[in-house]
Amino acid sequence: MSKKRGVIARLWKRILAYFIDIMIIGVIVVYPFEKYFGKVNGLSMINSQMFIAGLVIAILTIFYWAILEYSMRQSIGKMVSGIYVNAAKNSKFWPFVLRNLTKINSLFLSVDVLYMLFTKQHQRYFEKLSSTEVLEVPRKK
Amino acid sequence: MRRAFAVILVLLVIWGIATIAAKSLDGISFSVTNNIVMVPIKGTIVSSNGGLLEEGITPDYVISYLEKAEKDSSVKGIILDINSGGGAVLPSKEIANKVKSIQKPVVALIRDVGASGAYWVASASDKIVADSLSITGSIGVRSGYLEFSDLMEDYGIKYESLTGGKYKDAGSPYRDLTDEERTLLQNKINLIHEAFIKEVSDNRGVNLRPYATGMFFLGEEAIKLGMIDYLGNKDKALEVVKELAGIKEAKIIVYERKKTLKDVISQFVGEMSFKIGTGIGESFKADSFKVEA
Repeated sequence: MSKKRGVIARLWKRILAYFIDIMIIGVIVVYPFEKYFGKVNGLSMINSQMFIAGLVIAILTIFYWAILEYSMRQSIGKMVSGIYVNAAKNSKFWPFVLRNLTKINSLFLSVDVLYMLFTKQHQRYFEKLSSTEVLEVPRKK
Repeated sequence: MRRAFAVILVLLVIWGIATIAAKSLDGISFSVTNNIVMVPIKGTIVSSNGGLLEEGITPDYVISYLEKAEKDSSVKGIILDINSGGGAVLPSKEIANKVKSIQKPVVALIRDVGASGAYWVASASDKIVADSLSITGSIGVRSGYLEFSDLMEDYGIKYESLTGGKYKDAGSPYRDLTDEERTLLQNKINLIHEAFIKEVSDNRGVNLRPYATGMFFLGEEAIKLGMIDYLGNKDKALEVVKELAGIKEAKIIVYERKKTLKDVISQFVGEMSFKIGTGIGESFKADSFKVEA
């Protein structure tokens, strides 16, 4: 990651950013597939269409974060919360995919987030793996 | 500005991919097995499940299951698992019309009862399988209401009705029907009965008018009258649907509604009310005639 360090993003800002992004993902990614999940009330069967829909949603969800963070270092939620992703200057795309991999499943994400509590830098485990961190956007003087 | 444009572009691209992917998903299936879907039609056929104690089969959920089965290419046939004495006319017709429109083989399996509106639904399927002791048929229409004008009179209660339209008040429980109104309402019932007879006869390709007295028939009688096709149980229904679908092996998938808290409460209250009612009934009962199996 970039040597130019800033202030580590506060937890509430990260949570706020996450929920804003989740809402956006709900509208642009999940909603088009709504009929595969919502229409048949209580259908206790996971069929192949549901499986494919879930897979596409997972991929697009990762890409939403990865593309925005790679190109702008911020997802929309992070823009609103005033935080950004700090990575090496010539960082490639894949670390941004890696750092967001756990966001497709709340259980994976919970374990990943739990790791934050035990590190000084308050990094998620996959942030550590991808050599990225989330910092506060410096205030303009 | 350029940054905002880039963000919007990314969002649009992702949304576009999601929309296209969702649309192309219809009809896609990775399943290598042939599936036969069982759609339960158990209970009274109703328009909607409104109140706490109202629990029944609504066209919405049956139709959504049938559509789901129709779209899934791994599903080669459908078995309607019927145990119902019928119910409301329009929902029965709605379900029957949907069954008729399905391009995949549909077999109706009548368990204990598949009568009246439920028989209407069954008749729309390609074949009907029932046990020799299943109750079926009952092609008739019934309508009734409690009329307590005499009771009101006994208590000195007078009913005043202001209506616009001569028959707006026809069928009110607070007054007796006039002969003219009775005839008019009976005519409506007759019209529905006629439509019922025509639909089931057309569906079955048999003139069922002589048996459309409202009387029910046991499976072994019904097969002789052309009301059903085979005597048998679930295995027979599966055999028939596989034959119609031209497949030898198939996995059965049961589409079932998950029980909600409302369902559990409603079932509990329903069972409790039934037991209280039975208890009260028993206390009044002498050595009455019993038919039990």
